[in-house]
Amino acid sequence: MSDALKNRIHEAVTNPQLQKNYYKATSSAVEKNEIRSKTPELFEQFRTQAQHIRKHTLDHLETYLEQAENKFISHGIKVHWAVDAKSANSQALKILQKRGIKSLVKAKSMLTEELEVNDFLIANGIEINETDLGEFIIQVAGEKPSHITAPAIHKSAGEIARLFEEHFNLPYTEDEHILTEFARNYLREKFLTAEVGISGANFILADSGTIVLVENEGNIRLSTILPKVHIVFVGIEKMLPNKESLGTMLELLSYSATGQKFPGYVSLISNAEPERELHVIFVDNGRTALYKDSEMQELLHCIRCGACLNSCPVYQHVGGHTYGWTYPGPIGALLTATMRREPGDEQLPFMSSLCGACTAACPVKIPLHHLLLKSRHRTQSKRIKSLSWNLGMKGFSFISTHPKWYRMLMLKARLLQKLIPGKFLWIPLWSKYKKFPKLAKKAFRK
Amino acid sequence: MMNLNKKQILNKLKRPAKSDLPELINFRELENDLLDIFKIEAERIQCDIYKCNNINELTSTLEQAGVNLEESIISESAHRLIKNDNNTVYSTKLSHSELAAYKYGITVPDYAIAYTGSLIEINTIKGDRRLSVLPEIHIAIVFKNKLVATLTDCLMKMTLDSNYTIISGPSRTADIEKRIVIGAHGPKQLKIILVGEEKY
Amino acid sequence: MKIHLFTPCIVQEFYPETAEATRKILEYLGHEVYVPKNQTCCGQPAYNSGYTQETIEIASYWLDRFSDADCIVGPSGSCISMVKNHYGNLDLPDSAKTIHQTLSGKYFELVEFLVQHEKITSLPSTFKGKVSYHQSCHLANEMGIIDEPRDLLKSIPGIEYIEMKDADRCCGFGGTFSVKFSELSATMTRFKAERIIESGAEFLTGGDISCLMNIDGMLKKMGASVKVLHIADILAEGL
Repeated sequence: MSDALKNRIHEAVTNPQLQKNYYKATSSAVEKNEIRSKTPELFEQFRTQAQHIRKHTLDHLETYLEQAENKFISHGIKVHWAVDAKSANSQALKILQKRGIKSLVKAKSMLTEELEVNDFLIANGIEINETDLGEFIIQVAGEKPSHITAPAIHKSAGEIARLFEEHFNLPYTEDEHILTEFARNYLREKFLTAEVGISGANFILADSGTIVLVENEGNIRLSTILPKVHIVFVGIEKMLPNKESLGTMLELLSYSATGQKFPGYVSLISNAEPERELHVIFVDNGRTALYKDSEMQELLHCIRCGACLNSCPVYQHVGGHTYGWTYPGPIGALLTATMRREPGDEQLPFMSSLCGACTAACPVKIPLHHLLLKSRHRTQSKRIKSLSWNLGMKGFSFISTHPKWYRMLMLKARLLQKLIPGKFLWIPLWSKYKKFPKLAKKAFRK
Repeated sequence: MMNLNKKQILNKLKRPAKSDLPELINFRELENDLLDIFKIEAERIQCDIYKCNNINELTSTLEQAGVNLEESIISESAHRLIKNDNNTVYSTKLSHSELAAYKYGITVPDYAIAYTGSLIEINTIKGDRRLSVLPEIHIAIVFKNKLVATLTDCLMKMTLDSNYTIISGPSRTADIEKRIVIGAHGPKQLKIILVGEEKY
Repeated sequence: MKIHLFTPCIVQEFYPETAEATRKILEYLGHEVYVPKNQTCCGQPAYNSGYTQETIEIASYWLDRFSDADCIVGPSGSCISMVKNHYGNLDLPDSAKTIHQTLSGKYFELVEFLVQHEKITSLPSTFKGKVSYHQSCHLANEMGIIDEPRDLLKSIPGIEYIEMKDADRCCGFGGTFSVKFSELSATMTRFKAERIIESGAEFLTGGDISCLMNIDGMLKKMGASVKVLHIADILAEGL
């Protein structure tokens, strides 16, 4: 394991406030998912249906993308394609520069975090106003999101109060109502005067050419209705075939993400209104490579609900920033290891006890913990791991297949143990935190 | 440049084995009176519900709901229902700031979904999507015959040619320690006037 | 019926009393218990670390030990799950593959055997005390055994059953994970230990010996008085 990862884990698990914040955040979402807890058979039926919808869509992705593009164009929506971040960002910049636009409002989009759109645009002189409350908070704090749907969940109300006090001279208050009201008033002016709004998309419906946007705050509606120009960044995998499939997907997304029966607002945008411009940028950025990977392609079924994060005990203790990239939790570990693939990323799937809570929670039935294991096998088969582990495992296999050696080793261990005082053994990397039991005086052999 | 990107992407999306779309099942079946269910669900998501029998009672019910028509910006469809001569402002002529200054935005949703207590607004070219999101309080006039059981039932009737908005309750957030705050960027309150009349 | 007793390595070396308890329970139910000689390990540590070749070697050896079994019972959810659910994913040599196929449907974790095969709803155990249950991941998520162990415990008159908070949360063992990511693993285990202490239970039990060893290690480090026992130990008391 890299020192950097080890340090990040250490920072997180030794921070009591962080531990408290994450526990609160993740447990409430899990508790509220009534469809899963009260009607598990129904949940299972929904999930299976959703899994089939996503599989079918991805199987016919090329067709659906082209269908959506044609529909968009016929309704006056401009379509762009970007193979990578560079291409996506520069195309967006071009749209802004063409109109001499210097500032915009932004709705939350994990894809734009992945592409680092903000940094790019800011470097090119554009003022970005994040409008989702969580994103607004972390923008002020200069941090990255720590969760897929609740970006500032790692922060306590006190930390946010301090932040607003420092940056805006708002008298210190942990009252979430006052803090929210402040953000509402502060951002209102930005909404009313913005010339461009940038958003992501939760889904794109192919047959009607519809952009589906889901939220609770209303900032997406304001960012996409008020400005004259609306730019949508969307991953190519976010397609759905038709509106009939939307009912299932929206209900599952809602329950899995926040425990709500239905999202507060769903915008179904199929038209560019007169005197307004609507642009959709379809982004690849590694998705086509994943598409070809027969073992990992199911990762593209993800609808970014965050349920796997909320159910993951590892995520709950290390938090989102430990994963080192845009996406945290089990899905993040896999996407980082298989899509970004920077040195060290392959370690992330090892940061799991493979408990399976994520697989049970995933609304589209991605076999997450099985994929974590598969990823480990891949890393191992490339013999990236250390020499000591390789030798150790070879030894382990030898002992486990040669009973005489096994018994001899255990006998020697027992003799050695007689020389050690006390009730416990000292085992490296274990005994720092837990007591290791001594071998029983007599093993069970028959 | 753009087409090169597109070609590059689509060329990599060839897949030999393709699964069919399964027949989609709507798992939700509602048995009771849709109006009753809608009221319960809407109240569950912090909507304020008011009832009246027909459009003649509309103005008085609005008063009952605390709505000051002088401070209201009213949609075209709502204009035809509310007997108020003073208010003849057409919202589409207003700038964002002017519209935002109104306290109440009054609209007539095209559908209401009982299962989730939601409203659906179809925004035609002439419509104004700002009415239900900019003013501080959203007033929605829902007719009984616009009630549908579930979203899926509704989607069957919709063509999605124009822009649709599905509204479930007032705006909210839980981004601060998962504590729920009602009233974020959108309306802080959603008052629904349920009109018992069948015909509209 | 003749039952082959599968003794996971941890049970053999550290908790032989659990193997004895398992045998006692099975004999009480009228079965003949046979312990295959020269048992070592099921290969899970190699498998979870991504060492497929070594896992295949160990699995082939294991299958050879049990090749003529009619029924295999073992007091460990994760080990039985390894054999039942994961051996099939390995590229085993033909001889081993054949054995695995013949043994299909014959693998049982102890509680699974009692509840699903024997249809037992209670045992006349004389165990007394306040007991809480740790729901181990393999048993619950891979084998779907959730309420049955709790029901068995509740059926014993001397037991006051206490459901702890977050009983279904992973204890943080995860095999080599506990060594590779020792600080993180310990954080997860400490979280469980705190919930157990909070529950007021005198005894902590479960169906997976590796989880129990892990939790016990943390409780002892924390100086807690809670005693950790495998469910077999509790069920066999007084039989």
